[in-house]
Amino acid sequence: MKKLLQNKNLQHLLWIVLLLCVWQVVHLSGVVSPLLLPGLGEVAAEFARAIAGGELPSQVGLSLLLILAGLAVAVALALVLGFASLYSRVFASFADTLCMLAHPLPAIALLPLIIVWFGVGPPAIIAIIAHSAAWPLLLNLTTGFAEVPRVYLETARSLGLRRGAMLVRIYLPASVPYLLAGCKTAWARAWRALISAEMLFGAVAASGGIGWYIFKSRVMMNTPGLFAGILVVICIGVVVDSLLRTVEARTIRRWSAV
Amino acid sequence: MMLLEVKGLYKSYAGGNGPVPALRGVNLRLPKGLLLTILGRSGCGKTTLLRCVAGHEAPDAGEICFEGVPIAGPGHKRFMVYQQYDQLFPWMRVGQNIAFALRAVHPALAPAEANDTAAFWLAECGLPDSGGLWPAELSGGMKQRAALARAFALQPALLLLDEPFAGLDAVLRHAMQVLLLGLCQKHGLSALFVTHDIAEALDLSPAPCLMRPDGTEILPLDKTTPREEILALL
Repeated sequence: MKKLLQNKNLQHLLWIVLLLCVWQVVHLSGVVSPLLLPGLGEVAAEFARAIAGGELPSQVGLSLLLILAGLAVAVALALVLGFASLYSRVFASFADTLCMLAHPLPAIALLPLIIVWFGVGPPAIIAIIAHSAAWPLLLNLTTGFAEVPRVYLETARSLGLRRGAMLVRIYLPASVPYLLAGCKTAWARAWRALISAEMLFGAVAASGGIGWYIFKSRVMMNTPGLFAGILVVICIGVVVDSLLRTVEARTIRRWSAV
Repeated sequence: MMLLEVKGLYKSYAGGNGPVPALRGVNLRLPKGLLLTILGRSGCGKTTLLRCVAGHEAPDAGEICFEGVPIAGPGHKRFMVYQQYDQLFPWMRVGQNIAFALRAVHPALAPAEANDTAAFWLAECGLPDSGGLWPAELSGGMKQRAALARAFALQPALLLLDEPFAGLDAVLRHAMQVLLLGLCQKHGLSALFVTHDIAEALDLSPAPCLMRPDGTEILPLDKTTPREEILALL
């Protein structure tokens, strides 16, 4: 019992098993129509079928590819704007204003405009992801830059570090805690935006993605497929979360005294 | 020729009710090879003086000549050790911190050589085999030893020390003073050491000085001066 109280992963696993059991019991009791709540077996079978048929892997692959491309654009944008703000007060004030306006704007609200500008293909989805992720990244990056202790900057200046080295060797690593916080928000926003956009776009273009897979399953009244898709989305979220936590453990937790 | 010559230095900071003067016409001469301590009350401007000499603050008026040339900004030849424990870069291991500083100053230095030099100075400062640790894993005293090791490794012409041992207990502080004194003598380094501790100022330097609380002048202190007189001047 003591061991169980200390092991968070084991606790999570136990609760998941319990939730699945409740699901199956409710399904077997017949209280809810099997059309609305399929059994675990059916979901698993549908999952296996979609994987074997290659549909699920290709849809998930497409979604991941899109989100990676969108995040890459967002990171590049945030870095360029963040670095430029560091060296020009005029630009910093401009970027700050831009952030203030764009940060609270949900990507979905921009969707119609993005369709007009980019169509309904991958460029539009990448634009939506980039918008969702760039602003929280930039916001955290500029905060991180502003919070770099004076001692580090002065020491680096005494060592004669030039502009580029100052950015890469001092500003960036010193801002990693803020950067990671920004990545978490950026990922969460981008992932939500991606799934929503896919549901809306998939019907129009042939691109699809995991969001489209879930949506299509609903249209076909393929509830097991619907659940299979949702479970995949959950799994990807958990994996990314643990990846970010690994990065955190390797950086800021080593760097800061506990 | 003096290693450092400060003439008529004025510096004030922006405050809520207009500029707050920190230094008002301070003069200082430091010959090569001397460890000079400046005793002063908190807020007398001694840290400001150090920061001006390091090049981190631009004086309002006056002149700072280093090796006969007016200073222009910061440089590794005037390297500062701060009071804060967290002055090493926390994202580099202790040894990497020193090797990084060395390679920033001497770009042609081979990494292996920089690592060897880092290990040597860590050992000199009483931290042998600590190069692989993260700064966060060191105690306060060890952090100051590592900061000293980084400063010594750079072999600056002038070491600037801003109350580096202020937060340490009496035993540790004494050990660090002995270490600093020994290393400065062994390697012929010049240093400017500011402190608010009377004993520290008198013990560390053959030529202790005192800074007036209004930042107007720096007076030489005699080691035999009674404490009461020093306190009256502070």
